[in-house]
Amino acid sequence: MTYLAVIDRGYRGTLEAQFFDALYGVLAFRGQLGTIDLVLRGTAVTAAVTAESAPPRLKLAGLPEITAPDPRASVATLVEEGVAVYVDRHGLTALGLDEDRLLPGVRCVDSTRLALSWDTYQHVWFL
Amino acid sequence: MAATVARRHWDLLIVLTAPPHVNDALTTALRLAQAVLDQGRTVRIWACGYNTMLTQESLGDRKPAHLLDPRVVAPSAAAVIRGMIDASEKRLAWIVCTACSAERGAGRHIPEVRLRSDARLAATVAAADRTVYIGGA
Amino acid sequence: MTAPTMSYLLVESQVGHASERFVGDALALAAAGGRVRLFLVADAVAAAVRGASEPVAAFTAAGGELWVDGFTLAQRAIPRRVLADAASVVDMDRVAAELTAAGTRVVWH
Repeated sequence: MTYLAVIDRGYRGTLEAQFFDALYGVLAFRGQLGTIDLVLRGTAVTAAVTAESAPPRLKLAGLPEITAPDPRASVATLVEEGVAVYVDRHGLTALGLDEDRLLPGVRCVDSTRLALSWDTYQHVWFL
Repeated sequence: MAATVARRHWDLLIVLTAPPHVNDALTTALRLAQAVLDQGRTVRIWACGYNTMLTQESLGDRKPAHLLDPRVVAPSAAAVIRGMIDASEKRLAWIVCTACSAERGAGRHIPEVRLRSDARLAATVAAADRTVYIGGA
Repeated sequence: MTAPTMSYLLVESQVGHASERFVGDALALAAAGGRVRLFLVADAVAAAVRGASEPVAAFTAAGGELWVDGFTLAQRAIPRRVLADAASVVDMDRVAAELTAAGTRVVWH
């Protein structure tokens, strides 16, 4: 089976997601689902861009440190594993981000044009 | 020769991940399921995320009382789902993702639903002619 | 670019920027000659109001078919007379028939 997974909402909460964000889902499920190509859109595009600083840690009294999602690490792993990762140019521009800060192996595209390739996938899922 | 197990095939699988009570995703998904059932077809719903809490036995049959009009009886989500399954003549099935259920401490589920590991997601997709994935978890 | 071979039923349930991008996907498919039905449901029904959404207007101008959920419109008390001329109010039976038709790809946003 071939899947095109589209993520168009970024950070969904440190406590809410912890380690299990949408990108973890792609990593965890691709073994059984088969080929998954990934498109990052909207606020999710930042997962494909080198962060300018490390995100702050969540500190709540009486709790151990919460493992926050690390979307950039997840994207890097996906690329290493041969997953095609596309980031939407429009989304980068909207957030004032440059293509020169993209993580290695991520392809910058017009994701609307990519819709014309939806025929080639058995499933197109917006996560 | 080993016996083969006949796996049932379904017309539609709805993978429901959008959390309930944020908007009308659940209402919409169930309306779609009912419309497909009304065509004489078969539907499976895979409940993910907080949708796994909808089929707990602890919900009982009714929602809390209408304080302003005690005559109003509002069925619980579990009762709605049970009713739809019972009326479907085995053409509707509801699957609860065990990982999501365990994460949310969703307790005992009504007997009408099936619990399934997320390791079975691909097989469940393959068992349907069409899959609609409702994201938003 | 060849026209898409599949018939598409794109379901939009949200509003906002991400929703506009999804409608943009619908537009791209329609403009390429594909048969595309965009079904607005839940909060997205507001985009069917005349003049409310430029992306939706562009989609219908490109030959896309705009469907709007009648049940949802009624629940939100949005009268049909305020909808764009190109909007067809449908019920879920119609959606179910389209969704289960051979050769139809369903993508839900």
